[in-house]
Amino acid sequence: MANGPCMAKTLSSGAGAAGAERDVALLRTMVRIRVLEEGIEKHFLAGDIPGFAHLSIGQEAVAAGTCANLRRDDAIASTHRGHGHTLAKGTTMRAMVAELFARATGVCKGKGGSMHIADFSVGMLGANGVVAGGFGLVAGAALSAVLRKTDQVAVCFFGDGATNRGPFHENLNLCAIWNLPAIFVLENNRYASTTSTAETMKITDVARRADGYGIPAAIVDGFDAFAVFDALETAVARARSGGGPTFVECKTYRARGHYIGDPERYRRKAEVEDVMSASDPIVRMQAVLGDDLSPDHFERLWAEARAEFADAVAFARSSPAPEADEAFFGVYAGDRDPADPIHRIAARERDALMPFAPSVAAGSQGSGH
Amino acid sequence: MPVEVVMPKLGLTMASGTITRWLKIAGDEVSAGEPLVEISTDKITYEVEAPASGLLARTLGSDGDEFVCGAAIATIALAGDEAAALIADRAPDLAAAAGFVEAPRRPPAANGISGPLPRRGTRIIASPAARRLARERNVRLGDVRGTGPRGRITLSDVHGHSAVREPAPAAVGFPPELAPGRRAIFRKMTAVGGLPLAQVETNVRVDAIKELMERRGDFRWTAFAVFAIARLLRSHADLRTDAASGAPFARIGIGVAADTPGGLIVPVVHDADTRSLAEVEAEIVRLAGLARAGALVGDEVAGACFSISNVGPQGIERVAPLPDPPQTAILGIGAATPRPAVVDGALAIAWTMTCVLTFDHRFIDGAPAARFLAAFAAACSAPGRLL
Amino acid sequence: MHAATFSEATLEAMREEMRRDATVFLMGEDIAKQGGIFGQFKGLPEEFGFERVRDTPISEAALVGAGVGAALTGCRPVVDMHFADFITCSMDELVNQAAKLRAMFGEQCVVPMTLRAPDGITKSAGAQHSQSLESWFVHTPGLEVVVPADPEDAKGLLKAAIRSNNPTLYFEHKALFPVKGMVPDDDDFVIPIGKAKPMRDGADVTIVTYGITVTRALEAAALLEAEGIEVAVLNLRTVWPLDYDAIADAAARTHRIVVAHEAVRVGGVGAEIAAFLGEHCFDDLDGPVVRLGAAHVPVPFAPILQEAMYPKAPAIADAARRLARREL
Repeated sequence: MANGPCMAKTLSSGAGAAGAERDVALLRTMVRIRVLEEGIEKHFLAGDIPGFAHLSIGQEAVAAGTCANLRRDDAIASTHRGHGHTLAKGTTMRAMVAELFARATGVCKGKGGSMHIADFSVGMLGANGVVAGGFGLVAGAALSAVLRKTDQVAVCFFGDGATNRGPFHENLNLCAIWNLPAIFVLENNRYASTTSTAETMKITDVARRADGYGIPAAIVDGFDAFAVFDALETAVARARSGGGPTFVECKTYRARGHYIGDPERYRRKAEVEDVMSASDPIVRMQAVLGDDLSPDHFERLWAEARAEFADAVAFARSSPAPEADEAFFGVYAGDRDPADPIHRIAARERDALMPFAPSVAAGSQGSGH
Repeated sequence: MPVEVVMPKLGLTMASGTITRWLKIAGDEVSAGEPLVEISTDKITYEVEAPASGLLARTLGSDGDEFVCGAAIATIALAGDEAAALIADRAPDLAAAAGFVEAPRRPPAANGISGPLPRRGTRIIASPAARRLARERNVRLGDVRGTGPRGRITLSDVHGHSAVREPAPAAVGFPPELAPGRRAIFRKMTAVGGLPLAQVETNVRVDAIKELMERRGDFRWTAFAVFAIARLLRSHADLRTDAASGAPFARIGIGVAADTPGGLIVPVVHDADTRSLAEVEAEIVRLAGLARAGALVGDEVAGACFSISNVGPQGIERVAPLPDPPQTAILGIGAATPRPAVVDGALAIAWTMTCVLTFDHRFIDGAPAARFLAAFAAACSAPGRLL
Repeated sequence: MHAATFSEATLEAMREEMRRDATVFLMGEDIAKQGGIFGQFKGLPEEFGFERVRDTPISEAALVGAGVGAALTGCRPVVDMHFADFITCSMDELVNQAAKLRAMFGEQCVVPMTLRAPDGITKSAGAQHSQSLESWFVHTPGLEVVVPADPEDAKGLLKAAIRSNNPTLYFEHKALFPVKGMVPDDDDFVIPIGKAKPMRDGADVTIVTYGITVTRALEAAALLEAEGIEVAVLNLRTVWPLDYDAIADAAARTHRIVVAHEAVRVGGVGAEIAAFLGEHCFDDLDGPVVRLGAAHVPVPFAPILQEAMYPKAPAIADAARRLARREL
C-alpha cells in the first residue's frame, strides 16, 4: 500500500455538523497523543521516567480512528507501545504521566509504568510487556460479553511482530469459530524492533492471515484517520450485531525508534524523514480540515494539548512516590486483609526486607537505559 | 584411604574425653603404636596411640577441648593418599570441612541421600531440640551420653539424663590458672556444693583390729574398713543409694581415696563384698601403685557405690569428707591413736579411731546412717564375726 | 455426608457453583461432548448449555488467555487443561498475565480464574503426561495453588478455587479420580484456601504432605503403628499460600519431620518446607528434615521403571521409621 503524498478528503459517514465535530475530535485526539509522546520523550531523556518507553509518534491515526468508535464499556488491549491507545480510550494525561513518573497517583499506583499502563475505568485492559499478550485478553473479554449477554466489543491493538506468535493464531481461530465480538487492529509499522516485515514474513499484507481463519479483513491507510475510522465503524457494527470478528490492517510507520534511546541501526534516517514528511497523519488531517478550520483553531488545539501536558507533569511532580512497603501488597485479592493467610505471609516478608529498603526522595526516580 | 583417630571409650561409663596435650602435630610422620595425644577423663590420663603409620594430616582440638567418645580428633594420611588436600595448617585447629574422612556408609535413605554427611570434628553433636532442653534444664551436654547417630545427643538422651547427676555450675568455664588436671575435681566439687549433706560421727574402739593386724600382718586399716563396709552394705542398702536413679547400686564397689603427686584420685575395689580381707588389701596395694604412677584406667576409677577416705597415714584424727556423686555416702576415718577411755567403769587407755559418715540427706536419713555407723563400730570391736 | 468418588465430588462442586453463580463457565478440550476423559464433566452441558460448557480447539494459549480476559471482565472461568503437562503451552498466559495483572495494574482488576489440571503418575502415561508441576506456580507470585488429597478435599477446594478472586491452580491427581470417600452434603461446604488439615495424630514423627501422597503417608503410618511408632500426617491441601503455622506446629509436637510429595524432590514444594523448618523451627528439631519426592528424571514408560522412581508407602515408612528411631 503506497503512502502517497496527498490524501483525498474522505468524509466520515454522517456529514455535516456532527461529522465536522467528529473530525475535529479525531484531530484533537491525535494532537494530544503527539504532545503526550513528545513530552514523554523529553522527560524520559531528562531522567524523570524509569524503565523503558516506546513511542507511537506517527501512528496516532490508528488509535484515534479506532477509539472514536468505541464506548467507554468496550474493552481494548494494547501493546508495549500503548500511550496513544490509552489516551484515546479516555484516560487522563495526569493519570498517565503520574504513572510513568512512578507516582502513587498514577493510574496503576506507580506499579505498572509505561509498558503495563491500564485503566479499567475506561475499559483499557492494559498495555502488555509480552508481544501478542493482548490476544487472549481480548478473546476472553469478547467471550465474556457474549456470556453476559451484552453488546460490548473488544479491540486488540497489535503490531506486525505479534502476528508471528502462536497466540495470534490460536486466538484469531477461537474468535472466528465462536463468532466473538472481537476486532483485531494491526498497526503494521513495518518493523518489529529491529527486524523489518520484509525479513520476518513472506507476505506483504498480513490481512491475508485473517483469511486463513475465516475472518473478514480490511486494509487501510493507517495515516488516514478517516479511513481507520470508517473501517472500524464497520467492524464495530459487525461485532455488536453478532456478526463476529474483523481484522483491520492499518499500514503505518513509527517515527521514532523501537524504544527511547534506540540507535536505530536497522533503518536509514532518510527513510524516516521521507515517510514522515509525506505521511504525518496530523499534518495530513490538518491539510484536509484546513478548508473548514482556521489556523487559530489549530493553534488553540495545540496550545490546549500542551497546557494539558504541562499540567499533567506538574501534577506528577507534586505527587508522592508510592510507600516502599506497597511493594509487598496489592498482589492477591484479600492480601490487605489481616485475616487472610496471604496477608500474613506478605507482612512477614515486608518485615524481613523493609529495614533494608532504600529510601527514594521524590523526584529522583532515575531513568531507563 | 586416610585413617581417622577417634576419642577412645575407656570404660563403660565414659561419655567424653578432654584433650590435654598433643604429642605430635599436623605434618609429623607417625608410626603405628606411637603416642599421638594425651587425653584425660575424670583424672585418668591416657595416651592415644596412632592406629597406623603415615602422615598426621590433621589434628582437631587443643588443650582443654572435650570430644564425645568416637568423635574424630585426628586424621592420618596413608602412603598414596592426597595428604596435601587434608592438611589445613600445622597447628591443631577446630576448622572442619574439606578433606574429612567420611564416616562409615549406612544404607541410603529413600530420599536418595547416600550415607551421613562427613563428621565434623567439633565438640559435641546434639540436636537443636536437645540443646534447647539441656539449656532449659541446666544440663551440661558434655555429661549427657548421646545415643543418636554418630553419638548425637537427642531429646530422649537429655530427658533420660537426670539433672541431679551433675547440676551445672552457673558460671561457664574454669578459673584461668586452674591446672587442667584439676578440672574434673573442680566440676565435681562445685556440684556437690549444693547438696544437703549431714554427718554422724563416732569414736570406734579398734583394739581388736590392731591386735588382729599385728597377728596376721596381711592387712592394714583401710583394707579392714573396705572389707567391713562392703559386707555391711549388703544389708544396709540405703547407704549405697545411686543418686541418679534413687535405687541402690547393684554391685558393691568401694572407692578408696588416694593421694598421688597429681592430686586426689579414688580407685575402686570392685565387688569388695566378695573378696577376702587379704584380697582387699592386695587390691588396694595394686590400685595405689597404679595411682601413684598415674596409670589407672577408666573402670578402675568408676563404679563405686560408697567411698572411704583415710587420713590416718597423715597422722590426723578426723576427716569429714564429701560424697562423690552419684554416691550418696562416704566414710572418713582418722588415725587410730591411744586415748583415754572408760572401760568397765574405770579410766583406761583404748585405741580409738574417729569415724565420720557424711551422707546425702535426700536419700539417707539420720537413723539409718547412725545404724550403719554403729554396725561398723561393732564390726571393728569384734572383727572375728565378719571373718 | 455421602459417599462419592473424587471425580463425582468435583462434578458436584462444578454443578453447585454453576448453579449458584451464572458467571461461572467451563471450557477446555474434550469436556463438553465427551464429559471429560475421567467423566468429571458429565451432564454439565445438559444442565447449563453448551454456551457455558465449551469444547475448545487444541489451543492452550488461547484457552488460558481467553480465561484471563473473561476473568478480567466479569466472569468466573473454569479452564480445564486436560493434562497438567500442557500448562507449558500456556505459560505466558498464566505466569505473565494471570499472575501479574492485578499487581501491575495497581489492583484495578481481579482474575478470578480457576485452572484445573489433572496431573501425576499413572498407568505408564509417560514423561509428558505424568508430571506434577505445582512448585513452578508456588514460585510464581500472584497465583494460588491447591492440591486435593481425597473426595472431600476435591469438592471443598474446587468450590473455594472458583469462589476465590485470585487465579487458582487446582491440581487433581489422575489416579485419585476413581477413589471413593465421604463428602459433606452442604452445598456451601468450602475448604479455606491456605489451611492444612491434620489427618492423623502421633507423637513420634510427622509426615507433611499433600495430594495423592497423603494416602501413601496414611498407609505408611498404619504400617508403623504396628511397629509401635506413632506417626502424625498433615495434609497441606494448599501449597500456596502454605500453612506455615501448621508446619511449625508439627515440628513443635513431634520434633521429627518427613516431607513427602510425588513431584520431583529437587526444587519441589518440600524444599521450601524443609528450608522453613530449618530456619524458623530449628530448636524444635530433634533430627534432620527428610524430604521424599520423585527422582530427577523424566517419568519412564515401562511400568517397572515408572514404579521405581517415586516414593510410595514403603519408602515413606522407611524414612519415618529411621527418623523416629534416631537412625538419621
